[in-house]
Amino acid sequence: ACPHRPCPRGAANLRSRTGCEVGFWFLKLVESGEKERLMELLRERLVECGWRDDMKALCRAYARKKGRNNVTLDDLIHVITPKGRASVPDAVKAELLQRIRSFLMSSSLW
Amino acid sequence: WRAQLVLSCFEELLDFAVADVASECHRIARLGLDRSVDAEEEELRLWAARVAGDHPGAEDGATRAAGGGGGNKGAPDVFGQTHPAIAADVVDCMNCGRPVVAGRFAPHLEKCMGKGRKARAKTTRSSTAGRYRNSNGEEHSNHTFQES
Repeated sequence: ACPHRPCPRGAANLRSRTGCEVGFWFLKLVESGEKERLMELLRERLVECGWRDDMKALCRAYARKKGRNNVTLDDLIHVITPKGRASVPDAVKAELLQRIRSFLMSSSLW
Repeated sequence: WRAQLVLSCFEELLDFAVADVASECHRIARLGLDRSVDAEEEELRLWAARVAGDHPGAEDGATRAAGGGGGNKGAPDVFGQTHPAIAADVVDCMNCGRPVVAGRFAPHLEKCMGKGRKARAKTTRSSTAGRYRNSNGEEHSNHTFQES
């Protein structure tokens, strides 16, 4: 397993949904600015492939059903997360994984 | 563990992207901005409901319809006069020349001038004829309209 542990400082204690402690490495991504670059790339790809539009449609449908003033942000996140994770095109996922891997490998601690 | 780490980093990024979209949609829903997107649909639906269950001067039908921005039509105004919910005057469309009920004029014009979502994009003029003038003397470019 990864020998590095998340920094004791609170901000870096990011745990992914899989429970894997990515805090240490994710902090590296954030500190170097690479996280922002990756987010830009991911956003762009998700717009291009229509993923963002699909998620917006799900949200709109949910808001109509529940009444737009009864909708919370948490609701919407829970509504779209399963479909959102499942519907990322393989090519987009592969591209991002490759970028992340390259970046982490370039770190001397990897 | 490296592969799992890379994957987990990706999942974190994806969660951010999801929260991003959800946040935008939450804002749109709470501010009612989605109404402008669905306004056309909403207008047509309300009009159909009014026409089906309403007659001139009736207040019930008008107040039953959702108050979109125009307030209650059909209720007496400050002078005590009532007006029909749907303007009943008939005018001639300056685009196609057909008589149209005034209260239906806007939706008619959308289809007539090819702007509406459900309008068919048929070109009745050759593509080289770039501009034409309507009876008001305004210039339009390459508008399509239905054959009358």
